[in-house]
Amino acid sequence: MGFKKKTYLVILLLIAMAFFSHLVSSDLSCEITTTCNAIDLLHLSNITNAHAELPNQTFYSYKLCCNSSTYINNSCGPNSVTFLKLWNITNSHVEVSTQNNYNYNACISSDTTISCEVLNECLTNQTCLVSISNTTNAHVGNCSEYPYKICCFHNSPPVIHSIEINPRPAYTDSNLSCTVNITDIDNQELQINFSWYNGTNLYTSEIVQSYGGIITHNLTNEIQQKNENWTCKVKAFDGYQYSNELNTSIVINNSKPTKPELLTPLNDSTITNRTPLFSWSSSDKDNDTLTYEFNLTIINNICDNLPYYNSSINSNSFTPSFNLCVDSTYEWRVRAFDGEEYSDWSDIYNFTIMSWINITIVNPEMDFGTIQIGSSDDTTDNSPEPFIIVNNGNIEVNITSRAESQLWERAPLNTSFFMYKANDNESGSINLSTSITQWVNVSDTYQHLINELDWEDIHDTARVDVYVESPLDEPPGLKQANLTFIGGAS
Amino acid sequence: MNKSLKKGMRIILMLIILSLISQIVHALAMGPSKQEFVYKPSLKGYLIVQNTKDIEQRVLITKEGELSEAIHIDKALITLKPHEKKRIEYVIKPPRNKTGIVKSRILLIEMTDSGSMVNARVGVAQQIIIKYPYPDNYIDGKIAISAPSYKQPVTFSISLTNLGRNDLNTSIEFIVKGPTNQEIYRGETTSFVRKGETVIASQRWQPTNPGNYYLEVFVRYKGGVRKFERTFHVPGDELIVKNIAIKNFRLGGIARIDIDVESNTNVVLRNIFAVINITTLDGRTISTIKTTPITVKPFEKTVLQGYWDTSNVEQGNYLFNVFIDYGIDSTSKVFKAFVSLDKVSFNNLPTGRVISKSSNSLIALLIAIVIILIALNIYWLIYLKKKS
Repeated sequence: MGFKKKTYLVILLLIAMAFFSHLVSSDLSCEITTTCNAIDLLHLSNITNAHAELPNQTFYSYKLCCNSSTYINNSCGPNSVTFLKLWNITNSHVEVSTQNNYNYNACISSDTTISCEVLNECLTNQTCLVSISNTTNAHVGNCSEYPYKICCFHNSPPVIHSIEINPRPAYTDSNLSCTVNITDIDNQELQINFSWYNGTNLYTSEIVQSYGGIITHNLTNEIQQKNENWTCKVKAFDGYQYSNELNTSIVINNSKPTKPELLTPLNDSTITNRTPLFSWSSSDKDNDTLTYEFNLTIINNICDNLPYYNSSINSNSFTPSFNLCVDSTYEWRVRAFDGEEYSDWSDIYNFTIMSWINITIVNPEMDFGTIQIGSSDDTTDNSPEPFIIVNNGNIEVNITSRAESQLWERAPLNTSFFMYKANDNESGSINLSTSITQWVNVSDTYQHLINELDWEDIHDTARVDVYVESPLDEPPGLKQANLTFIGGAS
Repeated sequence: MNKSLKKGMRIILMLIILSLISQIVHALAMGPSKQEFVYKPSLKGYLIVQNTKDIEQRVLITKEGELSEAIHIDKALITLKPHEKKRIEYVIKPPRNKTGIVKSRILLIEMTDSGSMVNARVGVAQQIIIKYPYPDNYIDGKIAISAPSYKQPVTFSISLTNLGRNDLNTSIEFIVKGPTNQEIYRGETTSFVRKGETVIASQRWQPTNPGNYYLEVFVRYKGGVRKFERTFHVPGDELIVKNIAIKNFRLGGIARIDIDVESNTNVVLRNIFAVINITTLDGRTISTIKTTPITVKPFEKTVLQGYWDTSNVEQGNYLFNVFIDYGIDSTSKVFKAFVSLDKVSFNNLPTGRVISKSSNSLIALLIAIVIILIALNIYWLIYLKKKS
C-alpha cells in the first residue's frame, strides 16, 4: 500500500510539473563585471563612458555578463536579437539596432524568444543590459548612466489551457459561446482570435483583447440550425508569439416541438356541435414540419368510433368525420412530432356535447282564403304553402302535434273536416314508414306526426300538409285554429 | 334627395325586411333533450331554453305524462330576449311503488299571436326518464362499435345497467356474423354489475377483410337473457387495382385497355368503373378514358375495360393514372408506360412505400456487433499465443 501511495504521489508530482512547467518565467539578469561566469554579450572599455567591442574580442576587461534560467548565447543568427550595433569590432562607438550606420551587431539569442528595445526606463518584466549616450555614435555605460536603456526580456507565448462551447447540448435557439482559459506569464495584452466555423466554412472571426484568464466569445444569437456542426477555434498573440491553437465542436441538436396548447373546444365547455373543430397550437424551433397525434376518449359511456386515435394529422386542427354522441363527456389531447422527436402530450381537455333540439317552422301562417260551404282545399299543391318544419338541432326528433281549438264551429276536432299529414321535404328527412303520411284527423291531444326527423343539413326538413273542408252547415265568418308542433327526442 | 337621407331610407327598408323575415318563422331551441334518473325520492333536473329568433319571445312551460304532477317548475311562462338562453331548474318528487321505466315530458311552447286561418306554433320537449327498480333481475344495455379499418382490431363495447333489485354476475357473449349469416367470431367475457349501476364491457376482434358484418351480443344473468344486435361496416382497401394491359396494340388505332381489379370485401360493389387519365411525364393530359361500369361480386377478380383512341398519340413514355371511386372509398394507381408502334409496355409504379425507420439503425447495430466480435477474437488469439 505504501509503495502504491508513493507511486501515486510521484505521478501526481510529474503531472503537476508538466502542467506548471510552462508557467515558470525564464528570467534574464545582466551586469557589467570583469569576471563573467555566464554569457558575455559585449565587452566594454570601462563601466561607464566606455567604448565597446564584440564578445569574441579580448581587449576590454569589462563584460556585459548575462545569465538566464534558459539557454542564451551571444551568437548572431536566425533566432538572435541585435541589441546594439558597433562601428567596429573593438574600440567602437555604438548605436541602437534600428539605426543603420554601423555594421557589427551585438546579439543575444535563446531557445525562447528574446526581445529587446530602447527605452528610457525598462519595464518591470525587462532586464536592462546597458545604457548608451545617444541613439548612434554613442558611448556605453551601466544602466544608470545614460538615458537610452537597452531593455531585453525573455518572451513566453500565451497558453490556451482549455476551450469549451456552451451550452451543451445546444439547440437552434441556444446562444452559443466559446470560453477559453488563457494565461500569459509575461502578462502582456493578448489578441485572442476567436473563429467560428459552420462545418468547414468560416462564419466569423473576431479578435478580443485581454490580459488572459477566462475569456468568452458569443456567437451571433440563434444563427445556428439543427444538425449543423459548429467549431470554435482560438489562438492568441502576445505581440511576439502565438499561443497554441485549440478548437472544439458542437452539433446542434434537434429541438422537440413545444407542448401543444389546446384551443377549441374549450376545456370544461358544453357544446352542441357533434363534429367539433379540435384546434391547438404548437411550434418547432427548427421550423420542422409537424404532424400530430390526436387522442379522443369518451368518459363513463360508450360511443361508436371511440376511443379515437389518429397519428397522422398534418395541420393544427382536426374535425372528426363521424358524429360524436350527445349527452356525453369527452377528453382529448394532442402531441406533436417533428420527424425525430415527439413533444410532450398536451394537457387533457374535456368537453360535453349536449343534445340540442332546435325546431323552426317556416311559413307558420296558412291562409286558405274564402272557402265555400261544402268545399275543401289543401296544401299539397303548395297553395297555400304547407308548414315546413326544419330540425336545426343535433339529434333526430319526433314531432307530435295537436290543435288547441277546433277550426269549424259545426265540426269538432278528430273529424275529417280538418286533417293533416307529413312528408319529406328533402329526401330521407323522416322515417316515412312510421310517420303519418296519409291524411289523419287533427286531434286535440298530442299525436305522433313525424318520426325521426333527421338533423343533418342535407335532409333535415319535413312538410306538413293541411286539409280543410267546410261543413255544410258552417256559418260564415273568420275561421281560425292553432296547431302546436312539439319536437322531442326520438 | 341627399345621400344621407337615401342611406337612412335603405337602412329602414332593410330593418323592415329583416323584421318581416324574422316574423315568418317560428323557432325555439332547448337542451338537453333527455334527463335520465335512477329513482330517488327527490330529484333535480334542468333544461336550457334558447330564443333563436331576432325578436322577443314568450314561452309557455307545461308538463305531460305520468310524472307531470311530480315535476315542480317555478315558472309557467318566461320571456326570452332575442337569442337569449335561460337555464330552468326543476325538482321531481316521483311517486313510489312504480317499477321499470317511467317517462314524462316538459313542454316549452312559443306563444304567438297569429291571425291566419291555420297557424302553427312551435314547441320543444325535454323527456324525463325515471328508472325504477324492476321487480326481478333486469339488465339494460346499449352497444357501440369502433371499426377504423380491417387492418386494426374492431372494438365492441357494451354498456350494461342493472335496473333490477339485486347485484348481478353477467356473462356477455359477442358473436360476429358475415353477410350470409355464417359465424365468424365468438368471444365471451363476464362482468359484475351492482344494482342501479352501469358498467362497460369490451371485446376485440381482428377482421381479415373489409365488409359488412353483423354483431349479436347475448347478456346472460340470473333469471334473464338480453340480446343486442347491430350491423356494422369495416372499411379499407375494398377494391384493389392489380394490373393494366393493352393487347394487340397498333399506334393510331383504337386500343382496348384492360384493368385487373380484385374485390377484397364481402360487399357487392355496383356501378364500378375506372377513370384512366393518360399524361405525359411532365403532367400534360393527352386522354381521359372511362371504362364500362360493372358490378363486382364479393372477393371477385375481374377486368374493367375501356377504349383509347390513339390517333394523335406519339411514341414515347406516358403515365396511366387509374382512379376508381367505388362509393365507400376510392383507389388509385399509377402505371408508367412506353408506347411504341405496336406495343404498350407497362411498368408498375409504386404509389407509396413505407420505409422502415429502424432499418438503418439495425444495420449499424449489426456492423457494431461484427466489429466487436472481430476485436474480441483478435484479443483472444493474442492472449492464447502469449500464454502458449
